[in-house]
Formats: sequence, structure tokens, C-alpha cells
Amino acid sequence: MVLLCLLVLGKAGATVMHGTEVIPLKECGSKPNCVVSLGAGKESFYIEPFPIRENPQVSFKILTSVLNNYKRTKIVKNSEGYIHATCTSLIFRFVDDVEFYLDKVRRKILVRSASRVGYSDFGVNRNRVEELRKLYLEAPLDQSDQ
Amino acid sequence: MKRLIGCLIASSFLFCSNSALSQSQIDIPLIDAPYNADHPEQWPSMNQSLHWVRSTYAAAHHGLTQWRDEKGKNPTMWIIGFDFMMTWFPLGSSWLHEEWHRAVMGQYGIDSYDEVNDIPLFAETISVSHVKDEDLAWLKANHPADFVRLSSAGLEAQNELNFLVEQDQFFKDSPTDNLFLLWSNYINNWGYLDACASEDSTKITKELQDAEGANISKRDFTGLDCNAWVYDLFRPQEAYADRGLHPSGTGVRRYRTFEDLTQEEKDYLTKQSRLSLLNLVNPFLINRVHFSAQFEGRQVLWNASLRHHITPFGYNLGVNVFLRSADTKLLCTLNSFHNKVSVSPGVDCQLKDMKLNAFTWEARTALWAQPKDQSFYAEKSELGGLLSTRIQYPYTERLAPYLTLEMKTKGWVPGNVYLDESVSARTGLVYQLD
Repeated sequence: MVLLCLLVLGKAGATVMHGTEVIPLKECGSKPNCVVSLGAGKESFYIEPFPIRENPQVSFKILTSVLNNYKRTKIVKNSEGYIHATCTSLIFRFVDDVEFYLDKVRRKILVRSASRVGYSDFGVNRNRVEELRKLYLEAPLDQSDQ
Repeated sequence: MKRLIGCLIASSFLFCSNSALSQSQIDIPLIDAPYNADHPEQWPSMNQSLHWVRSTYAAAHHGLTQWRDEKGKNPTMWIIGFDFMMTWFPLGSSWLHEEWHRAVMGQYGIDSYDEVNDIPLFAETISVSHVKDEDLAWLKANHPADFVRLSSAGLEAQNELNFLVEQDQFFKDSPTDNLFLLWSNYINNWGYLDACASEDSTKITKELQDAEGANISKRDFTGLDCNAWVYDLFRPQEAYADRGLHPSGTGVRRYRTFEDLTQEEKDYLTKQSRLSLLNLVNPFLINRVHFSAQFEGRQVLWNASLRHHITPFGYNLGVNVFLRSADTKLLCTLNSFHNKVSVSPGVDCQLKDMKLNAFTWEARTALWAQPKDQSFYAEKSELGGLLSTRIQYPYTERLAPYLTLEMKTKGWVPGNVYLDESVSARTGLVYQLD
């Protein structure tokens, strides 16, 4: 069997159960090209969730606004308590998936950012999430109205 | 990996050059005996598929370069695009990978089908299907070393394709427009071993099993190659049926997952994944085809690279040394052969493109000590060797028929399907494109 690794690698990861709630974010696989705010994975993949600002509705409006203005980013799904966006790299057009999910129990916004292909991302996903966190925290609350 | 792919494409732009002195030729093996004679329906042999694939890439690169040159444009992106798309077409690198699996079965007349022939565009896995459980059970029971080699032959094929390209570039001045091909084969082999050595393999395997259901003819012969390779390497005596029942309830559960392996087997696989990175210690990957040196007042061109193969008995590490002077072309590989308990040496040397009147003549000699019976557990080694000669006649300015005779004792030689002693004769045609 031929396994076309450039296409397959980085697709691993299992859906996570949190009590009876199915969290749509997946754990990271074994490749260092993913970060996620879930505790069951390895420490090296863990990234702090985003705090709620004022209330969940306002927080998600700010996040939507931040993502809409973030470079080469496109929101592909925006439902209640869940955002899925894709970020495309400048030259080689690699696509990474960025997801946000409202954890109602912990009152946090869980985040996952992962590359679709390749082995190591050399910290790209972690840096992106931290940059988004900064923009999210610094955005004025009235941005949620935009 | 992202950066690596970026570097690959960027380096193709930087280094891809076809100098006016470069020469393209294609080599079409027509008959390979006894393989074609014993089982004509099982064509092609390893040697045939290897050279057909190499010739396809060479001819296509040549055509694309001429076409773009006429328009005054750079052919690099077209060549990269062609090489990428050939992944899903017959006569591409995936097809070669599968044909070498098929050849291991084909030497015993076992039927199989290479699904690359169906052109499965952008599929992430491609199978060798239409293999019967009873044929696999027979092969494992009667030829356990061949059964291990069955799983490793695909990766062996991709390494040997690269080795052939490197030889063409060094000795025949063929164009240096193969960077994408070279990188993609080595990286894919490493990535395959790496994927096998992780939980990813379990997920991929379960998806495959679910998709194929109870349809045995649709199943791949082995699933992920390197999981099966390490499993059978460590357990040559285990009956094939002991793999258990397929989840559908029909047939043997052929595929081995990461979960099926012992910790020792997992560690061995991880070690192979890391060792396969030695294949990247290779100046051809940055388009350094020749280094120059002075020896007794004469200019000598040289190059050297490392190599790693997984094998029927464990693994092989080697150093390839390429040498070329005005009148001599010499390729030598210094080998070490590793099983679980021992390491043994080998050397393989080839004299290339010697002139004998109108004829071109080549000779190859290899000597080795390899684990007895190709066994992973053998403490003793067996001495063996190979002798080969090739003679080529320039029938026209461009066309040259050739004949190769090769004999070997028991032992593993990359690209030779027979682990037992064998005598082979091959004929074919070389056509000069330039």
C-alpha cells in the first residue's frame, strides 16, 4: 500500500467527551503542528483557553470581528458557541484550521489550531493563537457591534 | 514539514537547470528472464518497472523542457506539477512502489492488482488488491523472508528510483531537474515509517477496514507496509491465520495497527523512522551532483551519500561513493547489514560505461555477509555475492540494444526480487533523446 504522507499526516486526533457533552474540538495527534486547549493530550500541545469577555455572546462577536480582520483568514462555520476558520499561508498556500468552542461548564473559550499537512509547524499555530488572543483581549467591547 | 516543502519548491527554482551539456536517455527493458518466462502474466519485473518509471520521468521532463524553451519560459513549475500528478498515474512513483510489492508475489505466481492503474486521483492511500488470503498464508508459511520483503519492497522501490536518478545525473550527465522527485520519495519513505510508528496508523487502518467491509478482493495485501513489516519480521513463525478474523467476519484481519505491536516492535519501528532520515544526507538533494578533486595530477569528480533500507532481515545502512575520471566511472556502496543480534559487512562496486570497440560495457561485483536465511534472529551470517555484466551496442546514433547477465547467491540485493540464488538475463533498448 502506498501511503501518501504529505496528504495524510496531521489528520489524526479524536473527538473529546466532556461529561456527557461532545466537544467538537479534537485532541492533537502526535505531530508537533497543533495546539489545543484540552488537557488530555501532551503538555507540549496545550494552550490556554480564551477568557469570556463580559458574556459569551459578546465574546463570540469580538472573536468573529477579530477573525474577519485577521490576515488570510476565512470563517467557514459560525454557529452558536462554535467558530471554525481557515488560515492560509502567504506563499505556499498551506491551510491551517482554527476552531473556537464555548465551554459552558468552565466558562472559557477553548481553542484549537492545527495544520492540515506536514509534520512540524515550527510554532506557527501557537504564535497565531497567541496573536489572536492579544487582538481579542485588546479589542474594545463595542467592536462586538461591528 | 511546511518549511521543508517550501525549501523544496524554492530550491527547485534556484537549482533546476538543464545545461547545454546535459543528456537525456530512456532505458526500456523488454525481457527479464526468468521472471517474465516463469510467470508472464505477472509482468513487470522489478527491473522493468524501475526503468520504465525512470524513463517516463526523463522523457516527460525532456519534452516539457523543450516545449517551455521554445516559448522562452522556465519549465520548473511544469516539471514539479508533472511529478506531483504522476503520484496517481501508472508509470509514476506510487505505481512503482506497488509493482515491487506485486513482483515479490509475482515470482511465485500469486495474482494481484495495482490500483494505481485505476488512476485514483488525490487518494491518500492506494492498494494492491485482489490478493487471496490463502496465497498470503502460503507465502508466509513457505517463504517467511519473502513475506517480510513483501512489505518492505515498496519503500525499497522508491529509494532505488532515487538511486537510479542520482546515477544518471552523476555518470550520464542527465538533467538535474529531479529535485521534487528525489525529495518526495525520501520524505515520503520517512513519513510512511513515521506514520506507522504512531497512533495515526491505528486510525488510518481502522478507516480502511471499515471502508472495505467484507469484500476480500477490495482489500490491500497488507495495510500500512511498515506495521506489517515489523510485525512479521519479529514473528516469522506465527501462522498467517493467527492475525485473527477481519472485523467484518469475513477473511483474515490482514492489517496490523500500532496497537498490535509489542513495545519492542514499536521501538524498532521508531528507530527505522529515524534512520531513514540518513537518506537525506545526500548532496543530490541540493543539486550538488559533482565535487571535484585532483588525484595524481588528474581531475576526479566524486560524490557520496548515505542510504537506509528496511530489509527482510532487519535493515541496511550504506555509503554510496561515486567516482568519475576521464576514462573511468566507478560506483561503490559500502554496506552494513543489521538484524536483531548481529551486524555484517558488504561491498558492491560497478564499473560503468567502459568502451570496448563499438560496444559499451559495464560490470558489477558485490560481496556480502548477510544474516543466515535472511532471518531477523540469526546469529550467523552467510557469505554471498553477485556478478553482473552488461553490453550495449550502438545500433544507430540514438538507439542501442543491450543485454545484461546477472548471477547471485542467496542474499538480499535491492532491486533483485530473488532472495535465493538466481541467474537472470535482461534485454532492452536505450534511446538517446538529445
